[in-house]
Amino acid sequence: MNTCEDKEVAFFGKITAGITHELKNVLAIIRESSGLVGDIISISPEAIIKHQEKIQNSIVRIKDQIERGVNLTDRLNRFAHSTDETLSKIDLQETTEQLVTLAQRFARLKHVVLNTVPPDQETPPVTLVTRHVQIHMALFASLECCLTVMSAGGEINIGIRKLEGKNAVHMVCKGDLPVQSEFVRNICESENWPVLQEIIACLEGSAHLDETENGIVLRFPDEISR
Amino acid sequence: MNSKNLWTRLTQSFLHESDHEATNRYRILRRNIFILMILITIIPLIIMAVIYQHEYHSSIKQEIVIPLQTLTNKTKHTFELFFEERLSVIRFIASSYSFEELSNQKTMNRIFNVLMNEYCCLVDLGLINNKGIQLSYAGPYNFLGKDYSEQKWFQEVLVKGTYISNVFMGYRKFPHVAVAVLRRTEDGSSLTLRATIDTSKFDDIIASMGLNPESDAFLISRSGIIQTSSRFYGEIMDQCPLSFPRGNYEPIVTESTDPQGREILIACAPFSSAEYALVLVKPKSDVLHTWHTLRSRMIFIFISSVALIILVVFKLTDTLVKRVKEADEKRELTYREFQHTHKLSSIGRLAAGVAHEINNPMAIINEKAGLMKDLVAYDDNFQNKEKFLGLTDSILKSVERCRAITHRLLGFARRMEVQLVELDLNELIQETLGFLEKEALYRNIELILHLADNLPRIYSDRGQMQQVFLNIINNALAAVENEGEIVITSWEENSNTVGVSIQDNGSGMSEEVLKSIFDPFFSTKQENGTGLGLAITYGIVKKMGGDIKVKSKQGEGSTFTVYLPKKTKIGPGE
Amino acid sequence: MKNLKILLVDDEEEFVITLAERLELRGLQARAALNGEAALQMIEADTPEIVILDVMMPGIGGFEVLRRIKKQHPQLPVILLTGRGSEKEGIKGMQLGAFDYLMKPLNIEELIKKMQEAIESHP
Repeated sequence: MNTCEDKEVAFFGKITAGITHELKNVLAIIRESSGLVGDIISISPEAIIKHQEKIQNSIVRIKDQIERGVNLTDRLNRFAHSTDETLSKIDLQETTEQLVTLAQRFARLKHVVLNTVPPDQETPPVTLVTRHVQIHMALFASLECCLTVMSAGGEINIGIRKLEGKNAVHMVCKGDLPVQSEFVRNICESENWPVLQEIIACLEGSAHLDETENGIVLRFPDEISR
Repeated sequence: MNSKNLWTRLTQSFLHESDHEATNRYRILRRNIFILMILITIIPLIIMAVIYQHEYHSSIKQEIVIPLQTLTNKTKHTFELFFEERLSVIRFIASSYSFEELSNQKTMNRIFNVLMNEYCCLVDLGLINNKGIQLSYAGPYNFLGKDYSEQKWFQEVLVKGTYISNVFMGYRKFPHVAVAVLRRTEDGSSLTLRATIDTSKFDDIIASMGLNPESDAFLISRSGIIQTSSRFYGEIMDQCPLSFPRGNYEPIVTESTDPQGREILIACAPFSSAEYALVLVKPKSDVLHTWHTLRSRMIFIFISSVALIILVVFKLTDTLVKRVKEADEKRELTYREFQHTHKLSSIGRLAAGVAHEINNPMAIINEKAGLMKDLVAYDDNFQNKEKFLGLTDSILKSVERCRAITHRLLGFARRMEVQLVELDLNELIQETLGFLEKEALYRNIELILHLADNLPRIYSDRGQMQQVFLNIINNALAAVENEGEIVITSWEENSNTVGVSIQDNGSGMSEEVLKSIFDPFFSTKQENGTGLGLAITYGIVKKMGGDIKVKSKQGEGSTFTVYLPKKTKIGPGE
Repeated sequence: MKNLKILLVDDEEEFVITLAERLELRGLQARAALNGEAALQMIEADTPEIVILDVMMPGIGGFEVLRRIKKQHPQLPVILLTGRGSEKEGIKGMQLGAFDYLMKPLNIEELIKKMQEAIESHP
């Protein structure tokens, strides 16, 4: 339990730091765009008219970044609230989407795109009573496993399913991948795999390699004990 | 109260685990409980056994002694009766016959024959005149005409009137006793009638005591010569090897050891009429047989009880201490979990606060940019150059504001691992305040800082220190009303310690609340609050080797003072 | 909608001033109050036709201002401005009598649309 707790804090720091970096980027762009407008105007009235389009574009960019920044703070807020209670009821689809958004940044560094598969219209929403932060961590660790063995240009599709009565998150890797046996071996040898196993054990769930496709299947119980 | 304090301190040190030596804690506790329980159970047992043994021993002794005394006494009386009977016969004869009749040999013979038929044990009978000359004699010896005037017994009988001799070896080497009676005649002279008796009756009387083969009884003379046959201590006329007090009237029982090495009880009953004493010797082992059986039984029970007690106490202590250890470990674990959850949730709250705060400057940038857009749309001439510059300026200012906010969060997020670094407390306090400023501002709460210049840096974990001050300042904010005041002061307390106090002029706390303020699960907030904040804060401060104190007055406010060592005690990775 | 007397209440001066300017460019007159007390005074002096009110303000706070407005002028429509992720505040506001709520940062077109709705439902 102790190691799980320590990792929770580290994970929280990591994600928060990630969001904050993005916010900084947002602000940087706003600053630049704003600066550009200021510069153009300072030159001369003629320059203003000549570069009218540039000014307009800058303004659009500022507005876009504001939109982006606001989304980021939304995500930060929601993530921050996941620590409110140790055990809480969560919507697995929502949490997965949330985490995928948070992890995009890390995936982008590897030139991999993350997609969430929209839920099936018929199936009811999957709710679990579990540790919110650690669910995030499990999903993140699973993604990290996939990312380490994938090459640039690939994508990971993440979907929720109820498999044989258990709640499952299915991550399927697509792109330039080795044969399945080698894929499996690479994942099991990656340094994130034991970390994933540890976290998922704390959640009373399981993490297995997909039998048919290249990917990982995570299973979670409806409710964890205690 | 002193004795109570002493008792408390004793039990504390003996039964409560000390803070240091965590690994030995349980071994010591186990040993202490074991010793205590053993002492408590065995000491009374020992005391009881000793008392019981003593009491029983003395009462058994009593029960042995008294029968011995009684038996000896009774037998002594039997002997004395025997002697008295013989003496009275002789006295009767002496008084009922005249001097002439008695000095007549024929008469003497006749009397002797009658007596021999009627009474046992008579060996001879004779008359002696006042000058000590035997005038008549019936019996196997040739004492006629013998002069006893010089003999001690004759002088004694003249004075005392009766005489019983010690045993002497007489006719055919059998033991005999002589008895004599004096009669004063009408003309003032005296006559002494003397008879010799054999001691065969003595043996009968002694045999009637019904002694077992280990015991012995015999008569002894005043000088300790054995008068009747003894089983163990010599022949008749031997000196008795035993020494014991003879006493005067009542029989006395003494303990001794005989020449064979046996432990014995000696009952001695002195005769009043003669110079004899009846001695009864019983071996202690015989007499104390019951006592010994009881004692060995008691010892067996005692030893097996002690063994049982030790076994049970050992097992019990073991189980007890194991439980204590388990409970302690569980508590430690739960505490750590709570601490962690608390930490995480306070971080979460901060992050959420930050996300919230950023909103306003973002809204401003939005409007400014929007206005810029509008101006471009509505006014082709661009006569608003100054305006535009003003707008972009404003945007930049807002961006700077956002940046500061996110920078704070980033710094905080980066430092979540436990790391010991040199901290400037003043800077840390101000950073923490940065997170809470908005709330203070909204509620018009005044934050007054008296932070010491050149406050010495302390070596500690940033994250935990922040948690501590965050918690205390948050509490102060909660306690204080809008328009209230919070004063934060920092100073160097002494060469090893720095102090920080957070004082508010809020509702304050009562004496009762103050006492439990750091207790886990104690909370004055009804719905929110787990009641763990201050407990965890207390724990962190203590773990760092510092101290935390509270002063409060209801209606006036509270002051929390934190003392921190310049060098902390915790190791890395804790 | 033209000549609508609008009162903006928000403690962020930069925000309020810029928003007022933008509304002006669209032909809408707006006054600004920087805190609750000032807002209430201005309402008494010269009652506006609609109030745009920020909930997060120091001093007497947005909700208190809303309560007092509704007490004195029940027919005066109020649109609340809340922070993101604060749906609860918006719902609370509506329970206290606000017409609707919008989240900051604002979309000015949305604001104007909401104001129209509010006026139409409060003749």
